[in-house]
Amino acid sequence: MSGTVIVVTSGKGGVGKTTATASIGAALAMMGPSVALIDADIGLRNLDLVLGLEGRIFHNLVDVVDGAVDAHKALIRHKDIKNLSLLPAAQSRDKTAVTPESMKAVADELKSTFDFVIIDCPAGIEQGFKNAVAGAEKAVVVTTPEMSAVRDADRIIGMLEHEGIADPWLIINRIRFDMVKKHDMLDVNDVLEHLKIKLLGVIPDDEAIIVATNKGVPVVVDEKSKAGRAFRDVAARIMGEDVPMAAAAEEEDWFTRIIRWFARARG
Amino acid sequence: MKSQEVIFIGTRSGLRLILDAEDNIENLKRALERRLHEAGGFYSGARVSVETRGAVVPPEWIEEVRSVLEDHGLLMEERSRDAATPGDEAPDPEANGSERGGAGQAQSLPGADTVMIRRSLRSGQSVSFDGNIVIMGDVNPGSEVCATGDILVFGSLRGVAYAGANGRQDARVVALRLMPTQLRIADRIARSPDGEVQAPLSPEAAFLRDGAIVIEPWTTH
Repeated sequence: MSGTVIVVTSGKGGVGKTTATASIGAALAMMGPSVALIDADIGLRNLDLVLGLEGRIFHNLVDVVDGAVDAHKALIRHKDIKNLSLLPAAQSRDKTAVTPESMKAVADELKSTFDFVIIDCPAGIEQGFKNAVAGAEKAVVVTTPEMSAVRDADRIIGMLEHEGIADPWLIINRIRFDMVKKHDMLDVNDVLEHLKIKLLGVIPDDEAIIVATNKGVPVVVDEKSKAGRAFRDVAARIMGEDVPMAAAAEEEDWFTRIIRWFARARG
Repeated sequence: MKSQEVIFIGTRSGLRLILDAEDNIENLKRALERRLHEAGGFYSGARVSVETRGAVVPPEWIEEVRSVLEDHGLLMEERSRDAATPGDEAPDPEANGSERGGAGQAQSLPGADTVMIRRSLRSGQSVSFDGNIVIMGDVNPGSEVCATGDILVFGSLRGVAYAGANGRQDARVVALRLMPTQLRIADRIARSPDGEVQAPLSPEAAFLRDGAIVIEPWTTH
């Protein structure tokens, strides 16, 4: 078996790479495929925390690269989602502890037994980025609807092309439809017009993400969360399903919602 | 799948060898050896001018490349300009991730005065060329195009464009949607107005008139 290695990257920090990695990974695993996540943000590890696995870390990515332990042995199985595993980053080392070659070797080894290997890339365009993309065949570029994040995404797309990863997917994170409607925020088309790559999903700004992150429960587990639903759609699209961009449509305003509520109450 | 590390281009005045300077010398040497091996003596005796694309390369690299070329019976031409200090007239075109159309050496190529780029330039990428540049794609903010001649963009020009970089007063910048961050023609600079810029509805051209950069709808007259 040979799985697909996907890197989640953005250039700019704080746009939601780690949340996206955890959410997409969890959503894919819940659909059936086996998923291994690799936290490549050595020295600033977070993915374990977002997944609620911090206390279970024993080995990490640098141990694997150093040859101290086998990649499969270092993996932590997720406590609730059985198809999901994590290879955590080392916290006491830095990006220079790994090379692109060693990272590729780890990704190649994991993809022999997993359907998906998803790499959480650190912010920036330096060594951490070069390590994270080395073993990847596909890339997901995360941006928010802000000019600075879009510019950085543009830069990253150029660098991915240079690394031989063509046609990355785009996720527009933390969009607020109320602000878009008032023209206070870039809309999906503004971002697409600039970046011109394939849209994989639009994730609405959602407080449930903050709650989920702090609790260490992937947001996709939350049936009611809009962001969770959007990430489940993203996973389905990665699986090749043709899911319409529901979140890209206008969100209902309070008036329609009341009418619908009345309609439901009557019927 | 990775973009090519070494590229040979045949021209009237000889062979051009373009190295991807963002790679490391060991990879480049290996790729060059492989390419020459595949060619099976085809290039033997040819004169080669070596150019780099991307970052500035240390002089040792050039010596290493020279020895590989000479091992295969090729002659490396002395470079017309020190490529370690390129773009002295250009606004830092070698930033990084750049794809330089071979500024520095290209002026020695008669006839090859227009370079065609069939993709978009993204933030951080740049092209500079001694001659005209045609880009079939967008020039995004954060990228740069620098030409000693004209610049033609078949797409949106939203980065920095520098035409007439050697001082040519009649250089022009034409784009389907001309909305650059900054425009330079010869020794003049113009920047886009502050605040929101409306996308132009038709192709426009920028050129010098009475010493100032003016923009007008593109017509063939």
